[in-house]
Amino acid sequence: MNRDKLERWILLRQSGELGRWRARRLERALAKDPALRAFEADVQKLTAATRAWTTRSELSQSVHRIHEELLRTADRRDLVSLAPAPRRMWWPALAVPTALAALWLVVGWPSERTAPVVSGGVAGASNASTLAWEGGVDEELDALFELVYETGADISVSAASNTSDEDQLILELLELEGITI
Amino acid sequence: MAEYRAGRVEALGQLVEHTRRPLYAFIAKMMQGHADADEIFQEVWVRAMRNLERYREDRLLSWLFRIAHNLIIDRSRKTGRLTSFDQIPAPDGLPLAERVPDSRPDPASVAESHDLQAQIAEAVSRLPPEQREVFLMRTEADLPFKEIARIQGVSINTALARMQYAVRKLRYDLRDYGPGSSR
Repeated sequence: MNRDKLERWILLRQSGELGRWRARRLERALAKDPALRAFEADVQKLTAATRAWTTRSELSQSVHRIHEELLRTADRRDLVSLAPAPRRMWWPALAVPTALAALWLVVGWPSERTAPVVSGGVAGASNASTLAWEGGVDEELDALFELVYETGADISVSAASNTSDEDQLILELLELEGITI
Repeated sequence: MAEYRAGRVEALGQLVEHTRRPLYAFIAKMMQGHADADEIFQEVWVRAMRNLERYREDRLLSWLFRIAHNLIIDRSRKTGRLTSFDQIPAPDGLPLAERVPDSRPDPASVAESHDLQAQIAEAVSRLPPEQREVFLMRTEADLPFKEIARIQGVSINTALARMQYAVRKLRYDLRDYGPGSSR
């Protein structure tokens, strides 16, 4: 597998953004490649060492100056208590369906080939039917994630959910195929 | 924030303290100078308090970093610092960062500071600004790549690539300071 891609998966895993499906593939690659394991270890060491590199700051003076600046330049707006109003643009909601549709048109969907089988399920299925990914599905999902990561499509999930963005995307794909996990 | 608006000044101190470690560290390490860092850190908070209507409860740190990112760019434009290697075209089309030879310090400089932290600080300071920013946002604030990409106005792939290149450069520059090295 492509070394560049695996290094980026390591970075995504460390930021908590790598889905379980790709995380399993990464684990298999790490088990076989000591250089890749060294890369992962070095990223962790660099992170720890950078955080240990301390910077000083005079906090109390900073707070005092911030407060003074706000008082000095206060206008009517500053005196009005404004409740946070989340603003969501509508177009990100269309980004994922658009990306899915684009992939479907370009590469088709494996349901037309031999029956897809998912073992263990992407999200730990307790469903009676067992399915396992064909190799071709891996590549197509890679292509989909590349498309999403390149276009900047927003695949945010609820903060209350423990499902990563990638896992959520896979669940939506399966749902499109009428497969529920 | 609402408490500060309601008149509890000490609430501002609590907010600032809560975000000081990642935010100030990020600004100081980007600017490589404490005077600028103090000013920018204060300005981030002044702007944040003035623009409360744009604030979303679950993204405070990301929002503050976005403000800091914009202020750092403004400051660098005024002072001429933080030149972006990525934006300098090269005759063969490769970004300049990929073409410059190893920029390790001369032996005399290395002899002055054997401490690994000092070496890391120096190596990070030599990263191109965009890579340094991604690297520091990840290490200092643990921001996900999705947020970093949003702050920098690039795709997630670009943010990932910048981090990857930063890590590779740092690994190379610090190769003599790892376990098993002679230092």
